[in-house]
Amino acid sequence: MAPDAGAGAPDISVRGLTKRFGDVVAVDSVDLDIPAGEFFTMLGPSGSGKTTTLRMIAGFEIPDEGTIELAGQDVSRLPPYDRPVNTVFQDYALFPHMTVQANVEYGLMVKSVKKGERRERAAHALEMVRLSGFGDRKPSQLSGGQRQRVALARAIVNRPKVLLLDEPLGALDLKLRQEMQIELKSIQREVGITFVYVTHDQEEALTMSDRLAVFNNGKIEQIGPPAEVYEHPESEFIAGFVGVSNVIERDGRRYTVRPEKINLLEEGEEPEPRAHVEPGVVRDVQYVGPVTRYHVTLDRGGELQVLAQNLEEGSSEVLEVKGRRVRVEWRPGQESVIDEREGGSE
Amino acid sequence: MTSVPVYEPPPQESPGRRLSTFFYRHPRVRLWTLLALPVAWLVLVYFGSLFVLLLSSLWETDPFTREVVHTFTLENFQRIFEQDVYRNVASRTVQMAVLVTIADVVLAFPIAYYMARVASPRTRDILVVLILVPLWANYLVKAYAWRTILSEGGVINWALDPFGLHFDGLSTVGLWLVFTYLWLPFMILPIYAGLERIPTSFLEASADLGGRSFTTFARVILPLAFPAIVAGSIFTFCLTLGDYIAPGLITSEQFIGTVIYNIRGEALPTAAAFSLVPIAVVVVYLLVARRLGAFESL
Amino acid sequence: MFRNDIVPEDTDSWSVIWEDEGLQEYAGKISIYDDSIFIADAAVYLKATQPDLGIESPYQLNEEQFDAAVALLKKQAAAGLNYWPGDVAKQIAEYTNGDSVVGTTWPYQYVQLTGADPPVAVTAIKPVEGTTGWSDTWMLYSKAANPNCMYLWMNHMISPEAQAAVAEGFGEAPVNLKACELTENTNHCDDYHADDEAWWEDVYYWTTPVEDCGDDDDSTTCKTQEDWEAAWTEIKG
Repeated sequence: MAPDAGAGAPDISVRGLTKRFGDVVAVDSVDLDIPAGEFFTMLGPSGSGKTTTLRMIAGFEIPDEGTIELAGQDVSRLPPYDRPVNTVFQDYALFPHMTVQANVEYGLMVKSVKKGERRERAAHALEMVRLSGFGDRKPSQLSGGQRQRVALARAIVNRPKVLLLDEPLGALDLKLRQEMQIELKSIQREVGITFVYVTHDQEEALTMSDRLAVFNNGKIEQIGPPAEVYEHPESEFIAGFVGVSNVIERDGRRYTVRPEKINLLEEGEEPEPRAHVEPGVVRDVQYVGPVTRYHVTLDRGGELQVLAQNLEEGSSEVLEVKGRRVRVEWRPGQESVIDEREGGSE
Repeated sequence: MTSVPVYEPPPQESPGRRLSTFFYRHPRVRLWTLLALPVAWLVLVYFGSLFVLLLSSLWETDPFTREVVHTFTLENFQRIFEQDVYRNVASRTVQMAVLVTIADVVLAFPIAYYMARVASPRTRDILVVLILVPLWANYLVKAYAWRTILSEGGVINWALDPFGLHFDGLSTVGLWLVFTYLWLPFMILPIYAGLERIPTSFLEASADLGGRSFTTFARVILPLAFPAIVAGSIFTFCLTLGDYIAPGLITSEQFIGTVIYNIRGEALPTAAAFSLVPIAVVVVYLLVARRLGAFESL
Repeated sequence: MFRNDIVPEDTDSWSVIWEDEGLQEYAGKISIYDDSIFIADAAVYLKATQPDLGIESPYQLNEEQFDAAVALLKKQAAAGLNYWPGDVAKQIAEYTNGDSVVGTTWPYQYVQLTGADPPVAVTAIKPVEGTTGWSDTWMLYSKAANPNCMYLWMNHMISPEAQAAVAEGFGEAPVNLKACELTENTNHCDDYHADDEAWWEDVYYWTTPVEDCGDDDDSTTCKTQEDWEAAWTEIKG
């Protein structure tokens, strides 16, 4: 195994990574640097290349071009069992013929770790995922969320340099998913391992990541902290995929504004100084409980979604707004200029 | 654009509909109507013949005409348990069944693995057909063909002759080859189905956790395919245990099937008693197989 | 019957399939009819070679005689045999391929082998010790639905024409000597000793083994058919 890289040196360094399946370019010369200890998310729609990239880091696919370095060591062509990474699979891939304990100990067993140490480390890992006492069960006797946590324990017990997670929460229902998001994040902080997390769920990506990369058509469109990517999408694709696209064209340039940043001005209400104001007609209103979504068709062309909290209004009042003429306003700097080219990265 | 909802009028009453409705309201009647024939078949023909077999084993024969006399006796069982020859034949047959099963597992597993995990869908389809084709050929034809292959002037000895070698094909070893060939498809298909059911992610997970190919095979693939192997072995084991044609054609050694076949004319009750031996062996085998989870793989 | 290109042509004794020398020489290539009736063939050989056993009929064997026959058969079986369970095709194929070279047979196989193209080099003899044998018979249903038809069939079967055809086809002596003039091979009746009563004296026809040895002595008992069958299974091992 490679010697520990110095602080700040990237844990994962990917250069020009390319993978083709027949005529399809699944991953198209991707560059990526992930520092040690980061919670890094690869976000994108299905077929965008995020999972293939993850699988190449894990060693399940061999890249056609490019290199992958883990802690300074080129692993591009090493088999999975020679890489200091572990994976949490989308379907968990727990061995059904083994107990939870045996599943968690598997990686230690194949590396011939002594039985006593194995027991101890497995117990600790199970404790970390709050499944102490479940060791004797078979995976079939566990709920989806529990299986997910066993898969996590099975991976982190090996103390990998990097933990790869392939849509690990995809099979769980919404409530459990939200719980697990918090739990995953806290476990990551506790163990301090670099997490590379693949998801197509933008909320999940925004919630958990230190940084995220948005994939589209085998390429990374934008990479940065969640707030930056969300607030300042660099392309129309990102604007649409991470949130609601809300793109309008003014003076030959294309802008996007997040719906919650836009105000609906009431009749006679004065806009803030220097704010951007435009008139329009409310085409549709959707009452969503805590908030209401207004679709406003602007007089100067284009349509924007506006999100307003229902601080005082009830559903009957907000629904009455449909068809009215309104003005929208947002503070300067809230809009982002996006690239002219359709869906292209810069 | 206005549209008036149009409702389908309720369907006309007809005897067919009334019957459907009756069955819908009486699910038990429906079930038994469906099952009556197969259950009758099973009970009368299947268990009936087994019962007659058991009964026959308790009768005597006339010493001169050798006709079955309906007098109760345990002599047939006594003969089977006391005379060495029956024990020897039974143990020889069981050994053969075990050896054939082992040979078939060894041959079938790589083929099934290739089909399930390596071959392209097209190659896989071709292989499935190739494996099934011999099953369409008549069993006797195949057994006779093997006789020709194994015999003194057969192709094996023709090929060995230039090297000064000789293979006594019409022997127990030859029979083992024939059985292994005959039942191989019955082993390949369950193992293939079993291997195909193992998700690729299990193999990836094993590799990911540090398991090399052999570890993955021994710790993940084999245990998960094991019930399928046992399922296949039910076929190879039972078919070998009961066969009497191939042993008669290939060797002079006696097997359970040949003994029953040879004595059935003159000593039907003894034959009946002896035929309960493979039945007992198979029942024990199936109970063990069930414990090993083979029935989920059939 | 034996392959005269492998077994010496002047062979005239059963010893070739009973004594160690022949058993070793032809181990695994001895062709034996698969039935308990073959115990009688052992008894025929013992009757000639061990007169002190006192075997009269090879089908009526007391315990001592029977045990001697079974012992002889077990020794033979240990050498390696090919059984032909009434499956003439199997025996014909074996002699053709050389899988079998010597043993018991029916005339039919001999006729087929010598008549094959090319003919298989086999010789069939009645060994000096005598042999077991049988005559082919027709059994007709006494309550036949059409008795006249039955009688017509009977007449047909004993007619010289039918007898000649059967005798030559299967390779046996005809019952009706008038058939001898109609056989294609004019020497057929001479070849099969149809009119030579003395020749048939040491051919022993089947009688079912029963407890009564057929003598006047009530104290002696013989092995029954049931014993023969049980022993046959055991001999084959």
